[in-house]
Amino acid sequence: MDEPVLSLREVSKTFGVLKASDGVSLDLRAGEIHALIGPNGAGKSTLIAQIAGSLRPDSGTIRFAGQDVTRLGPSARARRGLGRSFQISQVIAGFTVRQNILLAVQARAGRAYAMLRRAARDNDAMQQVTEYAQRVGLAERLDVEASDIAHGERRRLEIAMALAMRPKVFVLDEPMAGMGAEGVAVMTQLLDPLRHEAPILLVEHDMQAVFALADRISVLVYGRIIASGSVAEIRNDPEVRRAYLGDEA
Amino acid sequence: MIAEKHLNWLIAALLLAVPVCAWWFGEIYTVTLATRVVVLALAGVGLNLALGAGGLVSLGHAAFFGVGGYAMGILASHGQNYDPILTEPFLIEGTKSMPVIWLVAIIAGGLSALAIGALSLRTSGVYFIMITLAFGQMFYYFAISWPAYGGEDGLSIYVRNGFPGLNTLQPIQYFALCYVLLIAVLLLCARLGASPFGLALNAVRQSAPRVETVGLSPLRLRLTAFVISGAITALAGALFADLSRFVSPTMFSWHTSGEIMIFVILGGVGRLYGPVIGACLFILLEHWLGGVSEYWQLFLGLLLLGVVLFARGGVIGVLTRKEAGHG
Amino acid sequence: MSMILLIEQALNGLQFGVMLFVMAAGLTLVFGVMGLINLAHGSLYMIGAFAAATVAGLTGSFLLALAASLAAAAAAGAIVEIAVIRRLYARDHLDQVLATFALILIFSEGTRWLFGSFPLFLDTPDWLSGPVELPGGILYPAYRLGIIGVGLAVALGLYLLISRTRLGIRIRAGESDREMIAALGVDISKLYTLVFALGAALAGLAGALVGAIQSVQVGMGEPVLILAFVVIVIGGIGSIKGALVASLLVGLTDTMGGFLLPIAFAQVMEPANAMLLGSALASMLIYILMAVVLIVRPSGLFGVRS
Repeated sequence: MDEPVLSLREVSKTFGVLKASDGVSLDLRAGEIHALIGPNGAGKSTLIAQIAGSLRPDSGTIRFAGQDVTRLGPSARARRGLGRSFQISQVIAGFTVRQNILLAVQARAGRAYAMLRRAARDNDAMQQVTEYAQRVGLAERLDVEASDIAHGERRRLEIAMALAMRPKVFVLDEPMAGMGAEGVAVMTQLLDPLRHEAPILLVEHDMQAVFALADRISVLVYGRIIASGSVAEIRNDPEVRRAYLGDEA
Repeated sequence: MIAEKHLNWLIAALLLAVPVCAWWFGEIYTVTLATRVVVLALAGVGLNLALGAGGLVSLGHAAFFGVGGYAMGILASHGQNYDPILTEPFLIEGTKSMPVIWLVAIIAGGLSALAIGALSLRTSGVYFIMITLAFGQMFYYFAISWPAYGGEDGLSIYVRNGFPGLNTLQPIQYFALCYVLLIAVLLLCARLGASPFGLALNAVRQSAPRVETVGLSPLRLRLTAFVISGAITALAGALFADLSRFVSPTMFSWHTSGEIMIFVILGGVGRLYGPVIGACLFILLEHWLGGVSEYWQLFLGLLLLGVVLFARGGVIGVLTRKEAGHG
Repeated sequence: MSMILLIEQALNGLQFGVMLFVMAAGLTLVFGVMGLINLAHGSLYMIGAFAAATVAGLTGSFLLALAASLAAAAAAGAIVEIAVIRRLYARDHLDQVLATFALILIFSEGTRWLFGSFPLFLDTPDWLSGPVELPGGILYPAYRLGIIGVGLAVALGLYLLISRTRLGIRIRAGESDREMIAALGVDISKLYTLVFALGAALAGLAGALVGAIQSVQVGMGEPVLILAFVVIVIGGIGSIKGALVASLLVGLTDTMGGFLLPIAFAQVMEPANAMLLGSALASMLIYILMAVVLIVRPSGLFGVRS
């Protein structure tokens, strides 16, 4: 079998007495959506921060695209092909949708330090911007400021910016958070085919969406992965039901 | 209300028309005053790039202003005495040629900004303010304690440096030279603002984590902006020194940093012409209030306090009724 | 180089350091509690010195002069806090920098207006004007020893205030959680005014004490302000302990550097050049110290990593 695109080995991180990550090992393979679920405070955000590079693990290694990236910062990992979205939308509020996507396209093309050409005259980049906006259903909203679009649209804008990075993996932190049923359905449809472009590590609270999308699920409780397997295995795992799904039976 | 673009044209036109008229009527002092405005505006344009576009509150830009001034002072003092700066290991001679002096000022300013920026951009917020202020002060004390170029007394250059084809001793010609440089730098900054780099820098000011996520390093972007900013302010310093034919440690003083910042704020932070209108206003105030009272800075302080507390867009903000900071 | 001279210089450094501490403590407290950068702290130092010089001139009493410096600076601090500063807590740092820079212009020019441009003189009191013989036969001015004593007493007092008193508990609570302390029924705006006035009073005291060995003039607070910033950067923002350690470090580095560097350079070059290079380098020494601390610990020696 091929080497996983992203793999964590025994990753640990402690804050004071709190073990936020306790020997986490995790693989993400080509073509799959791997969902990471767990109750609030289980350490999902801490783990995502370590994968994205904004937090350094105390011990353990993180390999990505065949290289050890444990000691690299977030921008270096992004350049190597890690595309992420944030739990709380981190788009540039004062930019239009177009400028937000353009930022990602030009960064990806290595043109972010071009000083004398006009950003808006870069036809090739502009065409890509339109394409990505269309894919996430924001083509009509290109000239609206990001602070003025709806919450669901902002989440999709994040996906568009991740897409524009042409990443080797997607790391998506609760892309459906705060969405209504309709928004969740739209996002589910959007993410479903993405796994063929690059595998997705999906942190999500909405169980319906997770069960609909995931090829594999890992369950994180108190910084440890207590179970990992297919949707059916996780649904029927008695420990998971007890610890996480709150099932008394 | 006026569109900002039209207001900019108006300011540029007035700034040219007033001294030309004054020269026509033989009011040489007004021409010199206008040259001061242009040169100080240029220093503000430099700071505005770091402050307005990059969100970097630098209280140490006097360092670059002074470096530019001393670049001129050192080159020209050796030039006027025909005394080489260095003979070993290779010969470096002084010069009285403005283009060479400008180039040296820009490079020296950029390098100083690189050194100060690389250290101070490791921090942010209040730390950044205090550290830039402190490094600026370091240059000040060094200039005072290093006697080779006048120490505390400063350094006089007897004849203004030359520019091929111009008589720089004539005030209106020197004004024209400075004006052209200011407009060129403004055009450059406008282009920079609309470029991919401008977009990325603007993004860093609003959300550094987002910029990291698209694979860019906030530190590198900020440092690049800081270096360009320092280089522009250093150029202004060289022009300022040539205007007064004198350099002294005062150019490095933190009051100079504060004043450059006041130009930017009075006009409106992040607005292309903000520093220009701010410098106009500052010089006019200095001229008028200075005529009324010896203690005019008291009124300047009150005015500044009023602008900060009640008129946050600066003059351009008031005239165009638009929120500052974007774009 | 004699040992006695070295010890004298070390004591001078210590004296300089404790005065920096008295100045920096107020600044770092105001930053820690209210999140405010106050450039006008140097003006409060100046106000203390002018108040002291005026009162000493009228009454001839040094102790009354010191009391006047505390009272005048505290009053000025409280007025400024109520009139201007409290509008700035919610603003960004740029607005704080500008508004407090404007305050400097107002205070400096206002003082020049009232007192003129010539420096005033504040004499050290008779009972402290002579030298004291220290163990080892070192003669050292009693007044400077007094300053060291006052500085250390202020450090101890601040420590007790913050760790032992009700006000100290509120200050510490204010540093960590503003809403919490408001919810507990503490009048937050009164607390802020009090903390600001306390910082101001300390600055005024420092101004008066130093005013008696230097001269009392407009602008005297600014070099000290910038050194206090260096102290805070080295010590870590908001940390009183950091301010103390860093103050002593800066005071000693500056004084000893100015003394030792020319001597050290004289070992390897001509005396004239050594003097030149040594004193030029010494003027930059504390900034180099700051740069080194920044490289090793960007948040200062005792700062919390953000």
